Amino acid sequence: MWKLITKNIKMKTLIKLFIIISIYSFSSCSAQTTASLQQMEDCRKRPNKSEDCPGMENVIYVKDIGNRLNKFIGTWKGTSNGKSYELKLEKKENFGNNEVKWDKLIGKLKIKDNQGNILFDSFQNSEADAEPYGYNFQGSAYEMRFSTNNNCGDHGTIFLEIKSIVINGDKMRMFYYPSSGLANNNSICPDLLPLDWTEFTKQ
Amino acid sequence: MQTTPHATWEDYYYQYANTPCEKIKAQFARQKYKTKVDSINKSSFFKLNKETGFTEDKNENLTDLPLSASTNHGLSVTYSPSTRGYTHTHLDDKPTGTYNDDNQEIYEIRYRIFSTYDLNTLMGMADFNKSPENFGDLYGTMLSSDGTYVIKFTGSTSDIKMGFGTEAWNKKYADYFVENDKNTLETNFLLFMKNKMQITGISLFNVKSNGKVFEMKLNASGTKAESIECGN
Repeated sequence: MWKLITKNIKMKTLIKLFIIISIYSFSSCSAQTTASLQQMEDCRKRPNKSEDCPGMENVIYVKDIGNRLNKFIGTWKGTSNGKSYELKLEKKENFGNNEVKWDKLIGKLKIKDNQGNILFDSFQNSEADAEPYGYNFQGSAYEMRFSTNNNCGDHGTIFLEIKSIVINGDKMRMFYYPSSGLANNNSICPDLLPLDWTEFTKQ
Repeated sequence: MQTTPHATWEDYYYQYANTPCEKIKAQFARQKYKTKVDSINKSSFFKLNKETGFTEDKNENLTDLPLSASTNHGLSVTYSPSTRGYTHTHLDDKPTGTYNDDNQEIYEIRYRIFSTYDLNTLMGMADFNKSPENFGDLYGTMLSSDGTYVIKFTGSTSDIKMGFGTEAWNKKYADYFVENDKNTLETNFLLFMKNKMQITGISLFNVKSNGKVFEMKLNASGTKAESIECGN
């Protein structure tokens, strides 16, 4: 008899524990306020953008879980088609002007021609006005929007990648995709950035 | 429906047939317009490198839009006091032809909803029609693989705001859609227009392939777009 009562009490305790864990799990699931960069990358790929990302309703912060952005931090230099590039990348946390804040890279970029003339320089830009300005990963490549703010209206996307099999950890590659696509024959506004993967070296 | 014994045809027209919903239904019922829309509202046009579009004047004449002189893939919309509306495609995500280290092709990702330039164009058209106020027929239409949307100017002269056709606004807008990507396109469009541009005079509509028209409005708490079928 005593054994039966003890068993009942243990069973009730277990059931209570199970209910508490279930309620906690459910509430933390339904009130997820932080998402990872990977989760947002998956969210961006959803086929129907007339639907919200499932389970993301309460997200207010997109965090760089796993510190995937850290390897890009620093100053990088490269050359392509007679131009030299200096790109300084900084990681910002919980950053941005919109409802959802992000961990992201922001950059300062200086482009010179082979005479040393400066063609573009965003080193004096404020953080809010950074060029380039980070968005998110597409697989292993990190995407940043870039605009020259010149009369050409030239804007597009910079992609950065540090190869997963690191032979030499101080190498990064970059290419630029203008929003006009690659058929840009505008000689007045020549492409400032490399249109194919170009190697950059960490300083 | 409330009826009055002295109601005239004009009373009926302005109360019911002159609503934005009815105007949109009439827009897609104009045969010449509909034939032109059907000719470009298809996947092959959404996959092109450049957008396609045309304007319609108040006499139902259609004029193809030229490409923008800048390096953008967009169109240059020229409008005048006789312009009734513009219709154009927004393109699918663009494969760049370049691959990442995981051997996945990298895409230029696009948000297929009206741009800040599109909103500015409709505002400019409203500005041409403010004396006397005659905004009911004006429209902007966007065709894309994410659906067909129409914007109508539904405010009064004091709601006309311009200056949004700039790269600075374009950047803010793109950042907003990327950073709030958890939301629907419609929600982000309406929230950006309300909170960032502080526009109150433009309404958003979704036209389904079966011809049904839905107004997209923010819900009572102002957080999400909700869809209300016209006529309900």
